[in-house]
Amino acid sequence: MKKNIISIIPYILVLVWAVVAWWFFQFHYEYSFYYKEQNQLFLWSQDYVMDYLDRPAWAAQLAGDFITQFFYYTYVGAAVFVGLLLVTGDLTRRALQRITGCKWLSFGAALVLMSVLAVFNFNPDYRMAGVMSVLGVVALVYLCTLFLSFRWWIKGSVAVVALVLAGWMFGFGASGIGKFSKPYQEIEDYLAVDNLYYFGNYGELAERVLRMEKVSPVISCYYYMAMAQNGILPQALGNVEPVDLGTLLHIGPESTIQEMKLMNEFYFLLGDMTLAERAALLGCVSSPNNRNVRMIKRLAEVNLVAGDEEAAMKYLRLLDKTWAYRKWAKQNRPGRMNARLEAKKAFACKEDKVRLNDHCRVVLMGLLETNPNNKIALDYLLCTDILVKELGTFYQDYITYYLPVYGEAKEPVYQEMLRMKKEYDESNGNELDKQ
Amino acid sequence: MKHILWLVGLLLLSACSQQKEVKQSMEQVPMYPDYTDVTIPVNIAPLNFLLRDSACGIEVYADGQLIGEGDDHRLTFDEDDWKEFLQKHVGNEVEIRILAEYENHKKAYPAFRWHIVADSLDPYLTYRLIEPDYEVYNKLELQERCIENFEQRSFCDHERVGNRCMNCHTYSNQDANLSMMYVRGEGGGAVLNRNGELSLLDIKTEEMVSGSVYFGFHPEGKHIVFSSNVIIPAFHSAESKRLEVFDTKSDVYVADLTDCKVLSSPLLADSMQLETFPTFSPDGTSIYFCSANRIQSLDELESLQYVMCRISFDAASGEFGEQVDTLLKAGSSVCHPRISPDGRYLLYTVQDYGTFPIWHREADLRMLDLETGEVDSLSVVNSNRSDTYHSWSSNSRWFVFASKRDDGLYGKPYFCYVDRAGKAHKPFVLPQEYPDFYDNNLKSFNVPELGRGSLPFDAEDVKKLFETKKRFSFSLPEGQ
Repeated sequence: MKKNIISIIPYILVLVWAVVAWWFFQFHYEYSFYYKEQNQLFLWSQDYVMDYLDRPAWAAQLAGDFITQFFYYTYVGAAVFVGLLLVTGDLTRRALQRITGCKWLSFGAALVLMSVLAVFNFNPDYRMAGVMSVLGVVALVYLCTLFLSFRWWIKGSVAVVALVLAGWMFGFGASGIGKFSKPYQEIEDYLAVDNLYYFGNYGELAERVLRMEKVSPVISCYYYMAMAQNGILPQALGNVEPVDLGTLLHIGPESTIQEMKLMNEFYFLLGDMTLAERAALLGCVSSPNNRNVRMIKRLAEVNLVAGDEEAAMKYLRLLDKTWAYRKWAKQNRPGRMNARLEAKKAFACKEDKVRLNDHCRVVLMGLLETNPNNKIALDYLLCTDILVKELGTFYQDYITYYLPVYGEAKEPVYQEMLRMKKEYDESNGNELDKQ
Repeated sequence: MKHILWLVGLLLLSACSQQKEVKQSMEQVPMYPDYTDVTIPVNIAPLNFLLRDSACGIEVYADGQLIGEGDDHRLTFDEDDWKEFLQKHVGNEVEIRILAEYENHKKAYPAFRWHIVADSLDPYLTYRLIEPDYEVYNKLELQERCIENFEQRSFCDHERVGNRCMNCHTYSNQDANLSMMYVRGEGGGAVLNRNGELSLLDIKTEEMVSGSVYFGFHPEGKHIVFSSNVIIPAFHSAESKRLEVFDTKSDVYVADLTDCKVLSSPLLADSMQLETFPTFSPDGTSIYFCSANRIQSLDELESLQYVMCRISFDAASGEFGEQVDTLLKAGSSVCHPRISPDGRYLLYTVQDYGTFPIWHREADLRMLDLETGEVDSLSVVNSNRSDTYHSWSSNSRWFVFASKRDDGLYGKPYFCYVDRAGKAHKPFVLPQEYPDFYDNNLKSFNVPELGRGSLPFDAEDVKKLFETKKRFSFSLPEGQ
């Protein structure tokens, strides 16, 4: 009885390890899997798959990217990742047990390997190709151990073949090797906010941001975008510090991918499809292998809204070949798109103006001149004036864009600014008006 | 006879394959890329294609003979069979019929023609692969593709040149043994290839507003003519227009590649004028270029219209002519003059305004007959999207250009035949091994150029060149 209990202890240890790992990645690190998923564009196409053959460790990369596309679905990322680690660990244990005959050593080594791979995954940029590279080599080693009792020349031949395959298909297990690091809570927070915004869970996003002890400027932007989506940007101004509206941010070659993706969402929210498209293209170029499925979807959306049917079809055909986005792509075609995109069409910029940069004041004024009813653009303009403490500019923008469409200000923060302006004028003899 | 063979084939097929009914379609075949009614050279790779519908099988008949079949909506020709087919029909027009199989029936599409000509295309094509956004680049490379098959290779990639941007690979007389390209950024320069020996040139003097940008070789290979431009990027607010790029300053110079001297003329470096897009005439006695009045503000951008000009040049003395002739005022902006090697035709781009036709939807090609002065609007060649970045094949019978037809974003190389009467034929896109290549591709084929041979260097050679850090600086001749 005692011997039986001792013999199952390693299995219980592995089970506990797996449950803890799954719990951590599912409930404390789940958004890193969405990040991995969006950082590629896996196509179910012969042309695309054959392209992997030219890459180093092609089988590991192909299998890794194939699996990653399913991380789009809730609960899949952590479950599949831990499942892969268990398979890797089990093959390691079996191979070592056949070579050394020592069960405890084999289990111990397998647990260490699984733990190392799990730690590598604390880095959101760690790709599944890294896991598949190790798994592939371990599988080949295990296959070799099945020939241990054969004659020397058979063993030798199998070992040589396995060595060649390990290098050619899996990069000797070192392809995409990770780095030891602690969990990046700030990045997970950012990824959580990015994903909650992407999936339209604005309430959950606000709750999460308000719970954060420290808010980065990018997260602050997402919070205020969520508020703008709910139509309460002026009311929410100041809820989260530092207040960053994104209106003072410029993107270019020096920008981070976080900023590019943020500005893509920001311009799409405002209704400037030219700059949303530019930011999406920059986001794509800055992603691994220059492909990012969310940016491709956004490029399709941008061109559907802009009415560029041929460009939209370019991206929709790509999405037709994906597993997770094909349904969306079939449902959204030129001439028939969802209500959200149809609503965006109303704010499309019809008048052309050449702009030397993406200075947001110019962008916002251009949008308002074309569509005075673009309340989101108007709120961003007025709130930016408040943010930079330009009382005179606020008043001019209020008179020019707010008053003719909405009448007297209803938002308390705007009323407060108007009151301050009045007080200032009274004490300075209408200096601002003269200016 | 052809029709009888076709009918017999159809009857046999319908009898053999589960007796699916064959319906004659009146619609044009939904073929992508569009290879209907095109003129093709005898040395082109197979024109693999797909049908934009739910076909589950394709058969292709040429004059009634089966030449290819596929078991889904894609068709890939056997390369050996394809070569045999081209050789057999060279000089002729072939009637092509496509029979597509669907779940419950078959469809016979209306016939079209392929005109196979003996005039070959230069077998190599170089281009830059880049996303349609020029601010940020990653995995940027210059590639060489053999148009006779599907072999391609990279001969310069950004990782091997210190993550620098690169652009514009240009041959001299389509000769692979003399060519040049630019690697941009600090520490970059012009990479000159002479018989595979690479040298790094810093073609810049203090008087120039920037390094060299657009350039062309003198036919003798000793000189290049180039422009030095201050380039400003900008964005349109109208959603269909996207990017705008224009010059605020630009001048034209000649560089002596042997003596490392930059030659200039006040007629080509007028501070009130913008001179750009220079190219030598095939006999080397003239420089063609484009010129416009400098604008003072962004509001004047739509008035920035270039005209085509010419000035004489003596390569032996390095002297320029004393007057500039205006050759062409198109009522729009003229860009990128390129003269056919036989000196007969001048191909150029017209657009409403500015200097960046690849982002101007209305940009079209035009062909000026230098003997008669007649301008061909090339209506059979142009599309409703940008058509530009053209260059000639060495036999002057073909030119390649980048077109954004299909999606308006991603440029692809198209080949156009110009027959002996000067008539341009419907162009076709560079064929690819996999029919859905262009659907899956997310890079533009930028500045395609045709070459008679394969370049005698590779990306590793370019890397070694940059590791040596040896470069040749240029200066003005003494006394200037």
